[in-house]
Amino acid sequence: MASYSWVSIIALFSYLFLLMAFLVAKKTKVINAFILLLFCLVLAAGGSFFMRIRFWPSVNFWHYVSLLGILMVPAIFYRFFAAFLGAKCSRSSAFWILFFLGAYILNLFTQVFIPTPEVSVDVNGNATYIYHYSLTVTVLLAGAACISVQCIRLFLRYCKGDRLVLRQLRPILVGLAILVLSTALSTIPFLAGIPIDIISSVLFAYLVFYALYRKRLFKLSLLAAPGNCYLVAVLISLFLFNSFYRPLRALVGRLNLGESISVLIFSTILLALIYVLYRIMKQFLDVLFIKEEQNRTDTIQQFSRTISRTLNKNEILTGLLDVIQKIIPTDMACVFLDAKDGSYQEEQSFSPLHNDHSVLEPDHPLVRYLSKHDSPILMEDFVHTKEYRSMWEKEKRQLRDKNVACAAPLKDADQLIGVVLLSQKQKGKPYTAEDMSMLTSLCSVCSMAVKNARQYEKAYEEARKDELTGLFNRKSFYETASRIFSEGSQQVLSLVMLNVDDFKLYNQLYGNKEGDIALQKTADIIRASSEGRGMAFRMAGKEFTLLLPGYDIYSAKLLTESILDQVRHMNSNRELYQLKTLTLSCGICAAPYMASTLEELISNTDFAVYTAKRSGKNRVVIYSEAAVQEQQKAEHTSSYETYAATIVALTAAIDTKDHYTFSHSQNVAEYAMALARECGMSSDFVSIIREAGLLHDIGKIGISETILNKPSRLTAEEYEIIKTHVENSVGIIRHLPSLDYVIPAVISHHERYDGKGYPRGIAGESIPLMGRILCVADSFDAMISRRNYKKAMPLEDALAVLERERGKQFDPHLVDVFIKMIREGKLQVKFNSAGE
Amino acid sequence: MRFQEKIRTDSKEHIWQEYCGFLDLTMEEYMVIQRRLAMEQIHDWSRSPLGQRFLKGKHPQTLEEFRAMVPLTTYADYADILLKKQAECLPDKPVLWIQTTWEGGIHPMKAAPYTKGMLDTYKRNMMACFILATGKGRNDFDVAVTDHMLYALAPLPYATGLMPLLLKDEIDIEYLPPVKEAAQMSFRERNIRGFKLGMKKGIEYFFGLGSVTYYISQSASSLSKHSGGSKAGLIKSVSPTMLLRYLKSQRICKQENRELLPKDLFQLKGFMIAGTDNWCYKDDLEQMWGIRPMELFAGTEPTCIGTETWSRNGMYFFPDACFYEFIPESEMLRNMEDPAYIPKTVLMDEVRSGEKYELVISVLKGGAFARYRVGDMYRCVGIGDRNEQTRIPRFAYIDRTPDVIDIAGFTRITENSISHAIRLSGLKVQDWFAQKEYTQNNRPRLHMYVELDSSALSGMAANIDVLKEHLTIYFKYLDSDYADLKKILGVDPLNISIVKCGTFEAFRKQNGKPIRHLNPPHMQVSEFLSLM
Repeated sequence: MASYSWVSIIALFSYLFLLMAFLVAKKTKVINAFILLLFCLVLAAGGSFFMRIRFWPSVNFWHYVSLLGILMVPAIFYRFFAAFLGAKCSRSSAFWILFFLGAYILNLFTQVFIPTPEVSVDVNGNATYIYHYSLTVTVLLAGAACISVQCIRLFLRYCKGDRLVLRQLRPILVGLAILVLSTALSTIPFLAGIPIDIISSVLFAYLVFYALYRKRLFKLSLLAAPGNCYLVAVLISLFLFNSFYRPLRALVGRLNLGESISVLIFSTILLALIYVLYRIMKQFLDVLFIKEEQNRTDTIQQFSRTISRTLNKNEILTGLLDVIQKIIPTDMACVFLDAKDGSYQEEQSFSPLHNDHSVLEPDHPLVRYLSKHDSPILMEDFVHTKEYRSMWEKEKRQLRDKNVACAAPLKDADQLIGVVLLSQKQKGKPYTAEDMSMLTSLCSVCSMAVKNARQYEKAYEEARKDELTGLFNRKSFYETASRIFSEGSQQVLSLVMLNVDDFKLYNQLYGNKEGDIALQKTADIIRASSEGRGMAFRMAGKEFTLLLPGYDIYSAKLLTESILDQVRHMNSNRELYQLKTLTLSCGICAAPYMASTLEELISNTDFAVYTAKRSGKNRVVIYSEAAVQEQQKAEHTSSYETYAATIVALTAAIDTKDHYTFSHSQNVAEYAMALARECGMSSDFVSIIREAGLLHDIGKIGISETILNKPSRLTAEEYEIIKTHVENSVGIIRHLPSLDYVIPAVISHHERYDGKGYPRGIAGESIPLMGRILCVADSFDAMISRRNYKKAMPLEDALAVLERERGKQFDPHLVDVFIKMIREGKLQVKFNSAGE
Repeated sequence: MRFQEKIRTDSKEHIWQEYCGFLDLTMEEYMVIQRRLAMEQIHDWSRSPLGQRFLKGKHPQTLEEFRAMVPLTTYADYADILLKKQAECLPDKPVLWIQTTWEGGIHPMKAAPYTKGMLDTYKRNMMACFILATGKGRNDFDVAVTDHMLYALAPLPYATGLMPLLLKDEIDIEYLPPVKEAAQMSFRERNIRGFKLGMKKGIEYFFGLGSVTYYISQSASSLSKHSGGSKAGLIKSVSPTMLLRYLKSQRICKQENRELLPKDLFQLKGFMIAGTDNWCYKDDLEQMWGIRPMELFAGTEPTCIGTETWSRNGMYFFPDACFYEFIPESEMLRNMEDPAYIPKTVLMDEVRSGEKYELVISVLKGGAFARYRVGDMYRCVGIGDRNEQTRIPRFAYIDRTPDVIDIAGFTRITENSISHAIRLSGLKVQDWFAQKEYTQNNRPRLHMYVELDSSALSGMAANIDVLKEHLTIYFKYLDSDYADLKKILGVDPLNISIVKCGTFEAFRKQNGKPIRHLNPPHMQVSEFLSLM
């Protein structure tokens, strides 16, 4: 081997080393071109080396291998250079490849450009290669020169004024300069024999490699690929084996083990050496390149494992922020999650001090950007986007105040479920590509976990929360009460039960919709009053409970009285008409004073509520007083009886003005009562509808007699005046709080089932039942009565109208019942006439 | 990060995207930005005392409500607050106040507040103009820190003085002459000094009013001579490269028997012009500098709102400077006939190619002006451009609205100001009308048609020269900008025609109404002239 042959070997192995690293890299146009370039360099260096050592099969073979590599280098370099600059030169690149490949093939058969070298061997056995070039070689040189010119043109076109490209290209330019310089140096006689060209080629390859690294086209960790480790191990083993071959051979020879055993021993030693070296190399390169990446991967795995064990959203977010702090140390990080209104609210941050409960609106430009993208973005890049232009000044301030430098999306498929905001890295370090990739992975893992946690939370809430009021339900009450009881049996625990009084009546008066609203408002009061002190539950339709750990009876009583007071005044701000005042009957019991088990506590509290109900409702009863209270049965007479005098007075007032209306009201009251009874309504209901029937036209007091008794048809204007009697009626009755419960019926007796009535235009079941009953009764009596302007309608015709308007003006079910009652003689029809 | 650092570390594509990315917007994306920023401004403006002056207790919640509640405004609606600089009445705190003249000297100066948000946007949009002026296509520009700009615009507190101030935040290009020095110099001194420095250091950019750049370019030969003085002085004060170029171009000019042109001495990278009547000068400027100037639109009230691109084929409005509304020409004319008529406006996504519009702006980011009639007319020359790969409307600046005559971007002559000048001159003018015209050389001029009082003709000297002399004196007296036309550009824009006595009355009888005093429609002018 020549004295500098190790240079060739090192060059060859360097190329192979880079080639193997890039074979596993993510393939791009540039990487592919570089792999091709390395392959050519391997052919050139390898061919040259094996030719020089006159390796099997022949010098000529290796000469052609080397020549193929050398000839293809310019064309492939051009391809690489264009790809590096992002230039589209596929045609010219293909042309030059074909040109040099064609030249090579032509030369292979004719040796027209570069003939095979003449080998001259000296007395020491060293070979010298003499090339006899002809002028035709200038064709190839001209080709190379043309490529150089094209490269210069590309350089001028793509680098002019673009300093970034110039900076990225700098290592390659230095490499090219070294190549040119080395060619010049090789002509100096003093340096003859030194393989400057090979050294410069290696340097060039490494500089290109560095340029690609600077352009972030591959990861440095690829150098630690197993292939490269084997390659290096083989190289070192061969070197060691070569050095120790003779002493080893002598040692084995002394043992007289025979040729075959000696070969076996040598082979075993060589393999063992390669393996040991491979392990050492792998370890070394792992430490050098992979350790950090491995750490990061481990951290992600650890994070993934941790959050997979929990379904608590806050734990997941805390875990995310912790791991971010560990891997990408920043001063601030916070997570926003989407809320029901579409905005994104700050849920978690490094420190509670940083959490200013900021909100990102759904049309916030950053949110819009992250919705469309899956990877994080640096703020310095975000300012370049189209979305940034629509940013409000206060939104810019918000991000500036938080010192936001990076934002990452949390996505569930295409939906943005959250946003992670990070400040600048500590010590002013810039965010690297690895940081961004890490953040993408973490956010992706976290998104899945948050999604699962929220689904669980939703299912958990749905199972434990009451849909109407948002309070916890009965199931949740038993779970929570049992837990509190088992956890702290020594602790004081008060239980309050709150039962809405006369709620069925309330529903009948105003309809179920108003009833639901009343329950929601009551629940809101209970929730707001107990927030932070205890837990509120809806046990059944109109029954609520409050669990108050640490509350003695006195405190529980004060709290309950406050709730009772608020509920009493809950309906006092209605504008159109006054709703009935709602009250609560409340019972209180506390452990350990008056109960030692949960069952006992519940049972005693229940008894206290029962006592409150029996004692006249609208009060708070404490269990200890229950026995006493039970004795004091307060007299609870029906309210309705007390209002009779007022109703008589009002109806008498109508009578003096319009006798027809007076008798009509009495008839309507009779018909309505009969219909209500037939429909199975309670006696309370029947009493109320009677009073509503008597008062339903009370508002006509305010309308002129000339209109009321006009013999001809009413004009549109007069009809509008007549229509106002409904509001007039309500206006009168609302000043009589004791009679306000008839208002829902009175106000809705001109509503139509199809929604075309007045004054509110409500339809179907939204019209209170009493209103629908009054409507049938009112219309029926109006039809069969004679007035100044019309004759009385025959009964059959009136029934036909009812039938026709079934489902239009009237509730179909009520019409059916009413007609049936008349046909079966259950209802006594009263035929009135004006002035009677 | 400053622009000059970005050009070292960022790719051209990245930088271009940051500043000129608005050219990639679709119409929908453009309107999202417009509407969103408008909502921010409506929120702030309607809560300010200034806004409440127009809204009277109302608070618009949507853009449509805003357009319905706020009337179209002019500077007079803001004058009492803005001229007193009552910052507490404004939607946001102003960082500085910019001034300009208001209606030919009859009114005091106009003042407009600039907030931080407005200035940031102004800066970014100005950089976009800068980039587009030097580029030959997408992602292309040629800006270096070592460049020099010959700057032919007025210093602060005029809006044009903002540009060097804002650009300084982004890049350390050198102004010729330096801004501080220029502020102390007369127009002529500034030009001589600018050219002198240009001969030494080179000139890469040139920015000014179209008319001014034309005047400077025309006198480049004499200015460059001035900058050197004697031959020895020339050698001392000029860089060797420039000296070589100067001598070479001298020889060429002698051979071709022509004046020295700026392009012989300087190779501009970017050439930007602003103001009115630029179309008159563009071809000549291109011929003189070897590069076609790029027009941009900036004003005291609206800030920097629009720019042409590398193709110089229509101007695009920046989506984040102002909220734009457009009054179609027919609506504007109807409003001119009947001031009580409220003209309808259309938005950017409703403009039609080929139509002329009067611009109405609501300045964003804390600006004071809402639904403000700037007084400029634009023609929509197309929606998007296939070659430029844009999808938003392109506009060409036409002129001021017909009720104002603007000569070369210097002066704003109104009916009011002409009447005032006539009154002061004491000339016995019976009636008159004036219109803006262009000479055969495409230069703008004010053409007045004057009918003298027949009863006074026997007792007064009333030839055209006398009338012109008189009126010019009073125009100059009333409006210093008019005086600058002569002083700076050497232009005398007034042209007078004496009309036969009784022509105005004849026109009135024939049409039932008098001819409009300022810029009457062409049909009316033809009819009028036929009566003479």
